[in-house]
Amino acid sequence: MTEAIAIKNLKFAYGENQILNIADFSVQPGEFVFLHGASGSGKSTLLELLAGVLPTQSGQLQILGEALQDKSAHQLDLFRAKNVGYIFQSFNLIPYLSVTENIQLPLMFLKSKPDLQLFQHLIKSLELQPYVQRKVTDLSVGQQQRVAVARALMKQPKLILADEPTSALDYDHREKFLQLLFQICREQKTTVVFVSHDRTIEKLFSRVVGISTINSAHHQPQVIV
Amino acid sequence: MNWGAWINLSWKSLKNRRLATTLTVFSMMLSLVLLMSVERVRRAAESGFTQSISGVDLIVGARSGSLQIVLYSVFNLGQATNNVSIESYNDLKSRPEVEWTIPYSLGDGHKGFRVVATNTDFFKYYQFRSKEKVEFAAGQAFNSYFDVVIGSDVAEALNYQLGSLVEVAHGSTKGDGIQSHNDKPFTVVGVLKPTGTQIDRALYISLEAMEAIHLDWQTGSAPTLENQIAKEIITADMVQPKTITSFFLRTKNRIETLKLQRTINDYKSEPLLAVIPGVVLSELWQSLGSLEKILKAISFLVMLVGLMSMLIAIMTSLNERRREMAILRVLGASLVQILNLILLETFILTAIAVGLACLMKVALEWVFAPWLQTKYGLYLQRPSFAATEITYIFLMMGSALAISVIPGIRAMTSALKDGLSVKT
Repeated sequence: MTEAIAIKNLKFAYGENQILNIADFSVQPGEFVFLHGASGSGKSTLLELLAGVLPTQSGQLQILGEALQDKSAHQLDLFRAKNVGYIFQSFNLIPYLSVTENIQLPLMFLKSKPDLQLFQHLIKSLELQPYVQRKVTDLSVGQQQRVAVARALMKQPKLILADEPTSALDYDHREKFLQLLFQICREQKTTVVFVSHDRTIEKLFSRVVGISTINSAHHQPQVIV
Repeated sequence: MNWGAWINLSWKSLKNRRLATTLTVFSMMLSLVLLMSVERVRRAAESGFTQSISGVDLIVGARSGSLQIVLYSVFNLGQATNNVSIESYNDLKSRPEVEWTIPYSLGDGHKGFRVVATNTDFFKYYQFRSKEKVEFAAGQAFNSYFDVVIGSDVAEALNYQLGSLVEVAHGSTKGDGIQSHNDKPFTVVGVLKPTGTQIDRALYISLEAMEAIHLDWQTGSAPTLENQIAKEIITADMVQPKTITSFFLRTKNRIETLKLQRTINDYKSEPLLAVIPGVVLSELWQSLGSLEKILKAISFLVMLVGLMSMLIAIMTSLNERRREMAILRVLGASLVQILNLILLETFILTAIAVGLACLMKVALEWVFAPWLQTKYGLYLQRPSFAATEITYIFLMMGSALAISVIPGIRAMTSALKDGLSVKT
């Protein structure tokens, strides 16, 4: 069976500044991976590489059997639109769109029609039914994160990348949020890579990886303004 | 491409920046309205100018400049240096190729308006614009010596109605004359409808009346009391006109016009000049062309300012929207789609601006057309949207889209550089 993620000798640097150097790392389909590490340890850069937002500089990066290092920028955009669902830390919704419009936004780039059954199922599971016509800015932080999850899952991606989506939630909500996320990802057989420095939630994941154990690049964290 | 969703996204994004969007649309709209209004007024001025008179093939006066004849006969500007004898007039009038004539005898005025002595053929034949005739708002043509028909501006400015008494000032068209024919007042018997031409700014009396008021004058000065000839004793024989200032002429066949013009210019018994009014009028308009160019240049600069304000508005918005762009990118928007989004926004902005500009233009014309016509003689002719206006609209949309490639590319590059890590 094809691995969801397969990395060989992946290196990435901003100028002279080596951020990532991953010799070997892979994730099986359907795994829920918790990736933890300190700020500036290269977590976000890795996620951007996995999402195909940053182009691969050297080494091999295979996602769902496709080699991202061989793809053009346009192919990467198409690949991401089709396969990758992304959940940001915060501020990740378009403020002037309604809940429904936000959730259905990714389909616009896929040129496909919204699957209304899936939409109903997602908002039901994520307890968003009463809010679908509301503006997202009227929602609480927890509700907004659930909208972001629904949006990420709406196109039924094979891979969900999450960048500290729970940092704004309190512990009880975090656990509930993750259980909802996992429940739906299990239904869709989606692989999840979840990045956080908050290790109190790691027990909920099927696999826990410290980024320092796979990344051999050492650099001084820089404050980027 | 799913246009509905894209337009929805752009529209809501624009709505989210309501103030900047409104101001941008407003400034673009105003610049387009200005550009189109200047064009429309220019066209109105040109046609009003060149069509002050129509259906007249030749204007004949004593030999002087061709421009001068047109100016004093059509625009009531300036004076004739010499007259045409009634014999020459009658001779030319009775030539077989002539369809009709309108004699004009000028020289007197009334409170700043010119008094034109003519005959009833004026009401029958005079045409302006595309074959419009002089019409009466009230009353009728003069039929006795001391009847006067007044133009609409005269009626309005001096508040005259039918039955008002008018004293004609001698030799003056500016203000109150020094000498007045106050012994022989005229009675208003007709008021003309507004035409938007010089006709509105004149008073019309019969040629005989012109003779009558000067009957007792000697060597250009008013008679003393004992020499005055009373109105009551004037007979038809006494007031047969001896000269006129100029006359309009229509030939039966246009082909005859040039031949007749040559005949008149070679007229043996007195020096005459015949001019084709259309030719002189368009020559005159062309000499005013530089003013027209300056107006046009200013309008184009205003349009440029409108486009610049749009550019500035989009450029400034980009910085606030980096996060938005990053989200769209990660949801799968390609760089080309980001560029398209900016172009689509520009298109929507411009389309709204153009739509509003057209509405505003039509509304302005609707409100101001009667006023422009009666006050300034500018008759806004159809069509409201000629080829020039359509060109301006497309020019505006085209340049707006072309200019918005700049912010579009900027959005692309910053989206590429920012990746997903915009910290706002």
